[in-house]
Amino acid sequence: MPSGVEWAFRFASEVSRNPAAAVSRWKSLSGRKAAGCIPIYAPEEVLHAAGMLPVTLWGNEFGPASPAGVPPFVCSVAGGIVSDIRAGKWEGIDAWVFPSTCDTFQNAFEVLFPYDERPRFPFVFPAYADAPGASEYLLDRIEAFREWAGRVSGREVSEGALEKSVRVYNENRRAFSLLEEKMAESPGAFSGTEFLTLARAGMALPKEGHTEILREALARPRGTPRYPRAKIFLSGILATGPVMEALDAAGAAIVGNDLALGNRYYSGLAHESGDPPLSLVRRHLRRAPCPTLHDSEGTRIERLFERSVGSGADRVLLLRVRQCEPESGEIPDISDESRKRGIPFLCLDIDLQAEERASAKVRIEAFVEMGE
Amino acid sequence: MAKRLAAAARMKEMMLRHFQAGWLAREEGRKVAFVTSGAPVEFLHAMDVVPVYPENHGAVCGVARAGGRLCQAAEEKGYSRDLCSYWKVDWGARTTPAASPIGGLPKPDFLFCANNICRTVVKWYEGLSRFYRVPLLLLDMPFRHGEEEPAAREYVREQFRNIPGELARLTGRTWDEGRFRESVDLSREASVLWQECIEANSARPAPATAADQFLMMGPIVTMRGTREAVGFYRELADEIRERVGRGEGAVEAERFRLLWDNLPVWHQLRPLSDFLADRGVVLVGATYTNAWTERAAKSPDGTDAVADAYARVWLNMGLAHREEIIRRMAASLATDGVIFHANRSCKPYSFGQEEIAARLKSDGIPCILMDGDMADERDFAEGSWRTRLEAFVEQLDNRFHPGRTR
Repeated sequence: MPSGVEWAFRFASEVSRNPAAAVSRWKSLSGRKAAGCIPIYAPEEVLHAAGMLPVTLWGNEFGPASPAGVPPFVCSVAGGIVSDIRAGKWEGIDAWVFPSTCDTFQNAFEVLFPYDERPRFPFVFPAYADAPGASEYLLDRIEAFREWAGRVSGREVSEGALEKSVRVYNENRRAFSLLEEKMAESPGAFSGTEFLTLARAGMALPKEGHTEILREALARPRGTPRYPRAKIFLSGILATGPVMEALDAAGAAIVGNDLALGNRYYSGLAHESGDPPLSLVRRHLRRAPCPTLHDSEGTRIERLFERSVGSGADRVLLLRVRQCEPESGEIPDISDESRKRGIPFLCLDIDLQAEERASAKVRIEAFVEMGE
Repeated sequence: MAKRLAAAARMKEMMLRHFQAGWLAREEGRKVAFVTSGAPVEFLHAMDVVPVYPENHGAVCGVARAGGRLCQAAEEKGYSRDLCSYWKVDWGARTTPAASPIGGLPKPDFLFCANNICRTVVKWYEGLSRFYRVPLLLLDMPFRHGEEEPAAREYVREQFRNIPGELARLTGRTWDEGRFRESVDLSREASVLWQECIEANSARPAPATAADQFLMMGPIVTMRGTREAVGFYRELADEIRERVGRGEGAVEAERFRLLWDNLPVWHQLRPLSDFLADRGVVLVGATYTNAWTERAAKSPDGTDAVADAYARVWLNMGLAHREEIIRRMAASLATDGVIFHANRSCKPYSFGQEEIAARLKSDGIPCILMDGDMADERDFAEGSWRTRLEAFVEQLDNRFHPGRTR
């Protein structure tokens, strides 16, 4: 019989490999509905309070998607999501939530929904947290979302239920934060592949269960200390399996990240007291800097390096999803800043629908060797 | 070859003066702001700020076929190949101004950006703010998937009401409500005249081509809200009206009329238009030039009406709205088909064109999608464009003139 820790990794791995099956299993056990969410700004607590399972899609859940009908200038995250939905691979999803994260996701909503008849909600949120009227506007959108979620699920989203969901999500975020702290304090305590597995499992599991998995994983006894060849701070939208395998094989440890499928998704607690919708508004407007949000203080690049230094990283690896304009535009400035600070930096282009294992391996191996 | 409009010479002269104004501003004690094409420039006119448009500069570099070189310079710095070519042209011209046909752009005092045309401009302007170390004034306009949300309207209005105070802080001047209102009125007047020029192409033969419109739109983009723009469009409307009166078409023996969707391929503007004209095809309209017919309603709440107009610009609206406008234009201009320029650089304009085209085709409207880029000539396959357009014209021939050879 596997130990709790082994079980946690095995289960997380199974969910990460086949999230659609995990969703179907949850639905048949609970008899409730699942809502597919586009990364990463859907206020999931609302769906949770409505008794639904929020499932965040990244476009590579079913392996490389056929790009038929998706133009080549669309990033592989949006391209994969559109292709998979069109191909009927997400049959277990009952409703859709499309946050206005970027131009491409906004258009993805537009191209999909004359043809898909499931309920959908375009969650258009303020892209500029300090804009006058941003809080009021966002509060209105969260209330509209709340009403929609209640209608779709058949369960009204009460203040009490929302308050409880805020606590559940905060617990999950705290557990993920502990995982990140452990990775910084004990480099190599979790491999890149394990980190990705744990982060991804949370995209298709109820947060209560995911928190349990994270706690089990965190209880893993400290083994012989590892001395990684490189301590990496990982930035970008997401890491892929081949990239993490290449990092693991090269002897690199991930000690910090600001991945959208990672820290950007899991960080930031909502206030547990007071008006729950207002707590969600405040959490959103105080989000960690992200290229898809405008920051009036211009702190995104500074914050990235502060966090990188704080995590003890000795180099920064940015994984750029090809065609992702929000991420692409800052790369030369990030590169300049890393040069100024004497921190090795690599920008590695990735495409979720292309097999790039060999090239990723070669470039990552060379990056890890730098400065050894 | 299509006939040129006489107004082109005046337009060139005006645009040259416009770019020079940016360079002369400091000597005249005026501030310079970089502005996105969807930002409410009327506020800047009220404060005597000289607006400079990096996007327009991208178009000028595109026409001069300097886009590829400038993009290359940006890519050498680390900007990715798949990034918007206007952004890269701007960056390239900052580091290699000699490669720009107008010697690049002057340094701005501040930046004025609205994300109603795309979210890419936000990142572009954040980079400009870091590069020049100047403040950025951003307007966040929620994308409208369907009906307008009252809260979104109020959010945009709130930001617009805040602009006078922000500009007073940035310029050290007192807000001039009278000049603002005058500028809004002038914008509206120019837009009405511009719409008249566009709609005149419903005449058969069409008095102008979309290539003419692309060239003549410079002032409505960069000088709206000024007397100069109104004067220019009055003259242009007169010239076009005279052509209609004489029954004079831009293309000899007009056979087919097509609508263009997306930004033009700036570096191929005339060659493509002439290639089609030689086959009796006239591009009678374009959704892009039509976008500048959107204007503020006459209203005592000047600022709110301006906010409402800028919130509903073409690229801030969902595909259903865009399809409706395309259908309306296709009908009013009596077009025989639509050319969709799948513009690699403008993802929000281009992602969704295939779906619109498929629906139009199912209603019997011939459509063709052509891959290209607005400003980077490295992303243009001339042979493929010619072959495909020729085949499209043949398809139109077979459809509308069966059994007849040209």
